[in-house]
Amino acid sequence: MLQKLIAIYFLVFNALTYAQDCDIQIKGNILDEHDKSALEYATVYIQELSFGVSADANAYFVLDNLCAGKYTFIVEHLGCKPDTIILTITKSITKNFYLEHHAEELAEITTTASKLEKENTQTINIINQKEINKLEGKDFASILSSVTGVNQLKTGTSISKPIINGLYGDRILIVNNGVKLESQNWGTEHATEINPFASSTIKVIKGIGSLEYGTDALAGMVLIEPSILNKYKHITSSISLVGQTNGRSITTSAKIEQGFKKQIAYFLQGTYKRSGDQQAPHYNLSNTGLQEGNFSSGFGVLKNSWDINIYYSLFQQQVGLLKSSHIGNLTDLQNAIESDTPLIVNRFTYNIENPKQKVAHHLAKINVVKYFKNQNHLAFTYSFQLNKRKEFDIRRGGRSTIPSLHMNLFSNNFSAAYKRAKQFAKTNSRLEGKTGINFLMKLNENNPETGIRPLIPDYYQYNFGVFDMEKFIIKNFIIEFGARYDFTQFQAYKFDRNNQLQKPVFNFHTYAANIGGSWINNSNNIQVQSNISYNSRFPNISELFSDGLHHGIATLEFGNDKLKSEHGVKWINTVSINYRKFIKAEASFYISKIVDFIYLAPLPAPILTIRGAFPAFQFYQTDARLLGFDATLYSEPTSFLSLVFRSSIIRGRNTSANDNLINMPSDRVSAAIDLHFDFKKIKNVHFEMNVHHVFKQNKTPNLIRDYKAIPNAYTTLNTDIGFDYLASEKHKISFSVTGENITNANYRDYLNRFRYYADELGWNLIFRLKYIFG
Amino acid sequence: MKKKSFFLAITTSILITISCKKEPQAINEEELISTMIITLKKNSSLSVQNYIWNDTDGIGGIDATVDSIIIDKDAEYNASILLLNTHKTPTDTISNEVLEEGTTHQFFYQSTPASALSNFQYQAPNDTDGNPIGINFRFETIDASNTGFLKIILRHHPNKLGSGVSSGDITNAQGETDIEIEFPFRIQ
Repeated sequence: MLQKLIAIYFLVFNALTYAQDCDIQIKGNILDEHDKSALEYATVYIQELSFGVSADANAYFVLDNLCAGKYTFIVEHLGCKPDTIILTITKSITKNFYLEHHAEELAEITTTASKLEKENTQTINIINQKEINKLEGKDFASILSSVTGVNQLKTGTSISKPIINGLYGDRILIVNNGVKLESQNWGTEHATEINPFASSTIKVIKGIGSLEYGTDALAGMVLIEPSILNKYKHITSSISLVGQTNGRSITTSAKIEQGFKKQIAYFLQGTYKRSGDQQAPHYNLSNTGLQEGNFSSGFGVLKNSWDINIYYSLFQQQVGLLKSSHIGNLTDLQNAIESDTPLIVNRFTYNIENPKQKVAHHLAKINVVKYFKNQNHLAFTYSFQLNKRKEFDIRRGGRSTIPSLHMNLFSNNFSAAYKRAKQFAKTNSRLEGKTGINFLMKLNENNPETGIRPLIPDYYQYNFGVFDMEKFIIKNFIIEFGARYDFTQFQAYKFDRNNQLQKPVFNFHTYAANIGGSWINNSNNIQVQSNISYNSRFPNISELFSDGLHHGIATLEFGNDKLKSEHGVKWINTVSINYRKFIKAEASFYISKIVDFIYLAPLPAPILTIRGAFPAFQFYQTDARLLGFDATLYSEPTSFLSLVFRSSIIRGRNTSANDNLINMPSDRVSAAIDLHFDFKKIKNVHFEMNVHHVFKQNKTPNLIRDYKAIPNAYTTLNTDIGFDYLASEKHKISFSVTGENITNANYRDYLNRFRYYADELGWNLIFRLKYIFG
Repeated sequence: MKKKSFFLAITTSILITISCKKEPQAINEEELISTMIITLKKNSSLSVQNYIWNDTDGIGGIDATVDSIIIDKDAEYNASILLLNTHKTPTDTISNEVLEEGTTHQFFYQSTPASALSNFQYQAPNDTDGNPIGINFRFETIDASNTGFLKIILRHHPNKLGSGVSSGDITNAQGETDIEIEFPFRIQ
């Protein structure tokens, strides 16, 4: 209430004496709401400026060189609920912030990653709520690819998975609301089962991330954080509608959140999407429709000394695969490649026919947190996940309604973690740590109704893991280190060629460790981060046992049960520079060396089948090296203009065979110009233009012959025009129109597995309307 | 108390997962075409010859085996194709499925060298639209000793109305290949 009064006071005051000064100072203390004790080293972060400071040992902070204006302050302290306060400032003031000290809210921010990027030694890119809203209607991997150094591995137009620093699949850990996503991640044509619009923040860590979730983050980690349950929150709701011309799709989503009497809070969120066939510049992409329905909800009882939180989410999708991609053998593939246009082009329809996929992912979680003194706490989490996947093919004998692949993956995960912090007043330093254990049980079941020998056998997986992470903050330096050990046992139930049941058991020991440092100069505008991590990943079930034909790319793939764990070291260094408000630059350089890197290599001779001869591949191990560079330059020469330039380069080598690695993203650059201003009640009026250029991938493997010439370089032009209308304090309406590929450029992308069959999408207009209440 | 019931819930679900351990059933490949038998009957003869292409364990595993066709020169042959799935017990006759779904299946034949076997003609039965299926066909042999390969292709969901398709030209047939195998032959 007090904060509100202050805000109103300043609003009125602001109208009277508005001055365009940029030397305003805000100072004050960050205090515990209950006992008014100082919260040492708490942070204050200004969202609009992406800038913040840490308070000192007496919880005193100073923010300098601010211009007059309205800002969102995010105040954070270890073990506290982050608080968001909107203030309009016109002159230097002293302002104390109060935090509720013990209550970490429902969505416990589960890593050592803090909102203040500077509190980390790892390279973290944050996609905030505003950026997510701007991309509403897109899939998860597309949203992640807004981060420099993140690309997409696509299968057609609707299925894509993220690539971080050149690697994908099991080498990226995806953590949804503090639970590691356990899905059938082994397939390149399996999209990530995440609805990005249920989240309020998505963090991409191009490094080991948090050791809390596994040892296998060789490429990186993605943390999806839903709305923070806030017991002070007045009812807030939003509803949005997105229409796209390409695919004539409609996406609608709604969300409501509320807190009651300082003890209970909840949120509910739902999304529905329907799209018909999408279009390339010159033809319809038949059978590329999609239907998706998602739901998520959270409920929390938030007491003074403990919390209980319950979370449930459901992701459900039905997606069609390009009709022309359904081929029988190499001759068919050759015919498809020789034809400039797909061999089957029908009229636009919303109907989804075979081949298609139906996927559902359930996640339920219960989390109990007990708070102790000195900001320490203990958390127990149990989660259950069920991933159901059905793939339908064009079959004979009236079997097309029976899935040709039908698998259910059950996962049970139990974890316990203790988080602690210790202040050393003498040396003006702080030590934070987190220690924990987890147990995981997984069961994969094939439904025998398919009448097809399963690609992946049934299996049980048991896992036990233990970790410890420590962070030491002293003056301008941060030192982070941690380690993790995992024991995993697989028991597979596989039928051999004579239909005899074999029950091989595999035991894997995997380890991970990291050490990192960060330094910030005294004026707080240069930061250097460096992190070295060691990761190991045991071969997944597909790499051990996969056995069968991949229709879309006409190859036979065989697992290899002799595989060992792969392990590697990644060293990533990032330099960030802020020069006033004008220039912000961030550059990362990384090198990653992986021993026993698991990859698909061709067998010497093709295999003769009733469908003709097929090239055959088997999983082998080699040594690999990846080198890369990501850079982002952001500049705001005047208050209404901003410019962004991004670039990423990566080189992947198979060092044992002295060859290039397959599916490496080619070099790319993008530049954007954004004009923005406020006009009375119409805020954030913006006009953005963005040019994206992707170079041709010339460094492809010599040992793996490609069926078709590597696609040429391409450039796409995109625009975004929109505004927010503040009808009143509580009602806000946002509207925008985005144009994608507005020149209708005709191109194919190296990282799309369906590049043999069809061009990428033609132009698309996206209309977005969002109403926020509260 | 709350914590106790929480742990109870966890323990129960863990126990359920472990105790559910059951062995999967073997899956019979229902659509596998493991065997093709081609039966040839020379026009003037009463006896028939059978030639077999066999890959009982399906894709991968043990390599497929194929018989060599030995036929007379300057002769006319009637041929008939039988498709089996011997992986299933009892053996499934896949060619019956092909006949039942005649409108979505069609066989094509090619000879290498092209002159060795010629004049391929579809024989009855046709599909319900009156278009050829090609499970039965006839051809003529060259008037000279020769060796080569007879390629037999089965397309699923072909465009039966494509130009030349009904007379056996695969060029515009499209569809998805279900079978593409070659029998070596010797004309003597």
